[in-house]
Amino acid sequence: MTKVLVLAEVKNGKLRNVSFEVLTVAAQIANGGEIAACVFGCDAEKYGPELGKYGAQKVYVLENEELNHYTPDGYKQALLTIIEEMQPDVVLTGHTSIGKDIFPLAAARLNAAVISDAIQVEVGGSIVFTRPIYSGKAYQKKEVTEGLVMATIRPNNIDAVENQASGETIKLLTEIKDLRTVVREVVQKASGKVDLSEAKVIISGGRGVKGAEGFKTLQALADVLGGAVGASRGACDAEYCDYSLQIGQTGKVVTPDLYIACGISGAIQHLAGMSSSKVIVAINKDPEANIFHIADYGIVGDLFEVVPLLTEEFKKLIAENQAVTN
Amino acid sequence: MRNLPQTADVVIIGAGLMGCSTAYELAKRNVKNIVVLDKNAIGSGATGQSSGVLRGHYSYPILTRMAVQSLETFKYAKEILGNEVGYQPVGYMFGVDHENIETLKKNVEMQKRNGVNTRLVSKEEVRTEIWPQLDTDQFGAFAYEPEGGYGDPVLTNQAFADAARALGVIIKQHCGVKNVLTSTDGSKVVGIETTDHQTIFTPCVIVAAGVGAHHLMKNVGVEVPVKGQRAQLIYISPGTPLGTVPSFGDFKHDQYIKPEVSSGHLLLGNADHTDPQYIDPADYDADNYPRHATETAIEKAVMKFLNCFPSLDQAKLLTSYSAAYEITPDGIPFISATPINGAYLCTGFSGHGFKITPIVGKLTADLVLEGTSMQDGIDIKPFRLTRFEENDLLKPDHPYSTTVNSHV
Amino acid sequence: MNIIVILKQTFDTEEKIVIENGEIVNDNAELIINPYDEFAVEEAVKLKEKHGGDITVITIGTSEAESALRTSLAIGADNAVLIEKDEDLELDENGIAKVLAAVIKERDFDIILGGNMSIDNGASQVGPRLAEELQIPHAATITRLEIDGGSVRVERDVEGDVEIIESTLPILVTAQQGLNEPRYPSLPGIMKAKKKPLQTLDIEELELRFEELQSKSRIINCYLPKKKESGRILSGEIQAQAAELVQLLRAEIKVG
Repeated sequence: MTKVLVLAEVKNGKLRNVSFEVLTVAAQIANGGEIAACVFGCDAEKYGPELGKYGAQKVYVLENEELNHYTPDGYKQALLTIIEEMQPDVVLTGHTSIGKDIFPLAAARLNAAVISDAIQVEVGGSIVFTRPIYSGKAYQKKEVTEGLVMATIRPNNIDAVENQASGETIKLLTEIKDLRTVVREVVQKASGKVDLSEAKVIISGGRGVKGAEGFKTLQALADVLGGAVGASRGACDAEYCDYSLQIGQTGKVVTPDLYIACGISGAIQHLAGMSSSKVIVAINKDPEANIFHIADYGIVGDLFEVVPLLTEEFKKLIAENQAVTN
Repeated sequence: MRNLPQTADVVIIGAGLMGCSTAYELAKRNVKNIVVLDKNAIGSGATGQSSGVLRGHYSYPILTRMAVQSLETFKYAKEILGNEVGYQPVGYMFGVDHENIETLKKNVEMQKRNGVNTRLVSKEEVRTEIWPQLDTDQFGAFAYEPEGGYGDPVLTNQAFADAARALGVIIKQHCGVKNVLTSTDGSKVVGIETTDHQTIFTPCVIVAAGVGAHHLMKNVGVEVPVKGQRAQLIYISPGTPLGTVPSFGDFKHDQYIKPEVSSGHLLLGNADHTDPQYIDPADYDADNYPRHATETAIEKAVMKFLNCFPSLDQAKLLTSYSAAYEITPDGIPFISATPINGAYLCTGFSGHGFKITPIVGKLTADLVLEGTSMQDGIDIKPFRLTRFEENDLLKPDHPYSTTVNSHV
Repeated sequence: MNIIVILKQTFDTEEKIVIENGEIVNDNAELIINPYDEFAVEEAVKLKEKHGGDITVITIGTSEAESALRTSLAIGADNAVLIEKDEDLELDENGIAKVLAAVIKERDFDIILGGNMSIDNGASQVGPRLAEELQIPHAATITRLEIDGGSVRVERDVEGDVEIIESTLPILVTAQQGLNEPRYPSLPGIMKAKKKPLQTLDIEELELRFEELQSKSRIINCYLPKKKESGRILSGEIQAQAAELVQLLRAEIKVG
């Protein structure tokens, strides 16, 4: 019987979906044992029922206005208090901005190991976590061999499954003090241009784009998909776009979920920068273009014909999806 | 992969500059059914690593003529091949130490006779007109070719490939050749076998596979003395805009410098071959070859550069490259028949093939179709495979004393 | 100002990963400074340019890691420390932080800079752990750093939003992309770096008990993702191909 504690996160007055995903992992690990969640902040108590819906039998609540914003010192004191109270065998949270900050910090205090950014968990004799390494170019299976097990789980990776439990709220009181960092302000950034290195979708153009004008066609598709525009060295050399967009051996190395190469022949220098992308689509007039060798899907055709069609099709798809979720 | 044709009139192994230039020439002369195979992609071997310097400066008259005849193709690529090849006539400057002043003069005369637009330039002119930051005092003399500079090897390769395809040539990438197939008595070529066990029957195979020529020919009993040599290049920003500066062959410090017009950056290459790093062809694996220069090589290049351009102390190291190119014992390529009827070599360009790519295609086509050179003033004999056993090597008229393994 | 930068040497981003017997083989791999640590080095040099002081770069690794330190010295660090580790000694994030803490405790420092993660292990643990070991505050994934006397103001990237944080020296910060644009080493800098002090320490000679360093986690094995099946060239009317492609992508990635 394993006792599992989940640190839940609230953002903009709502529990984050990753917390439900982590509770789903917790259920798998607990294997009939105790599942508890903890949540911090002034009105933390109200989140109890929803955490219960995803399997939290107990919800430890620390209501303190010093915990309305994340600070390493505040959260460390809070989390250590809960751990002390509950004495869990396993502590989990999302591999989020908060999770990857607080877990190593608390672990250093507890002299414990943390498995970061796990994407899969297998429970047998021990708890084995799978995590990507080398930017997803390889995977590692890892376990904790001694003491408390702490792990952060990658968001959007494990489907959250409802698993109704009581969600009984347990309020704890503790003094949160000596905060050595203070949050002065949080600036919500309007989603502006997407950074190439972190974009989930990249629409990339080569010499086949024929000019700066042509890149606007790519930008339109990128905008629809919330992605970024990139370029081959050839396109940069030809001054169709800025060198900051260059992907390849002398440019950026990217690993988006979707890479759409438009009018790129696929010189080896370019492939070095993008071949680890999850799904690669090539659009090129030349059926012999090298890029087709590494593409998952290829369309032989004029990018100025194909790309606007794709833009329209994606728009339709997104409209359908929104209709469903609303 | 789509199936290969079962037969071909000519199979060319290697879709680099030389393979594609040769394919284009053969197709232009109405040879049908030409298939070019490459284990990777067009230009993925030595071509992709070439610095692309264009010059007429050689101490060998024949290479000088080859460079001169080839320059036309770089200058008028759009008209001839249908595509630009990145020709940048920033000029080519050649500098020597005091010991080689007379040799330089003789070579410049020889080059002029052979059609190179070149002249000696004074140190004063170098400082005021060509490259003000260069410390000219260290040098003996300079020559300057206004039409030299550089081209883009990858674009050139692509232009030849596209032009060849337009004439019906089939270029298959990611299709390696495992074996050249010969008749039972081994006297003539009958075809090739690919690494994925497909066969093309052909009476004519041209091996333009760089260092790969060694094991392909060894398998059929022909020893081709090519091996790999490591080249280490560094890429720098001069730290201040230089304006237009030429490609520079610095034979005082055994380095060469290629400017890049679009970025204003400089590529520094080593031309000191006193301590070459050879790679056994059997061990050469392009995929796992180090891509960057060693710390020692970088320091050496930096020292030479700062020595030449002491005022450019804001220059920054951007990156480094390392590559292997194929080299022959005398630095002269093989454009040659072999003891096997129908098997030809077009390899061994020893780091100076780019500038002669167009003429090499023509010579190789001549060799295959006519058995001899049809190019004005270019004898093909010096490029034969048997020159070593016959002890009849090409010699420069006026060799420089500084070049150990002469690429000039 | 006494500035310490912790950095890690990692595989070049273009490097192919080779695995034998469940372990990553790094025999021929080309190595670089972890890109996030490059931001830390750059920020350190900027701090020094503004406030004066002395920069020490510290790494744990084999003798190969010396080149990462030399590069930092070429960029502008003053001293380097290589904490030499036997290749067979397994240190997890807990052990790494303890070793760094043991070395750094002996030195004067006002600020410690590091990357927010390494691109090889990708755990983001060492920065916060080290701050805790040293009992100093920290701010992770920073994109802006201002120091005025003893006070520190940073901007943090928090999943796209910006948090403005105030704190005081001494502090540890970890760099996020966007903090700065790392400079390239100057050519004279490369030559000078050869003469700057590089100290080598042996882990075993540090005052640490073996139990403190012992890994509390174990890597069971490593493996490569499944090989991609060969791609598909679509056919038919272009309009139909575009529609088909969008349907195919819908299944494979979360679009929209």
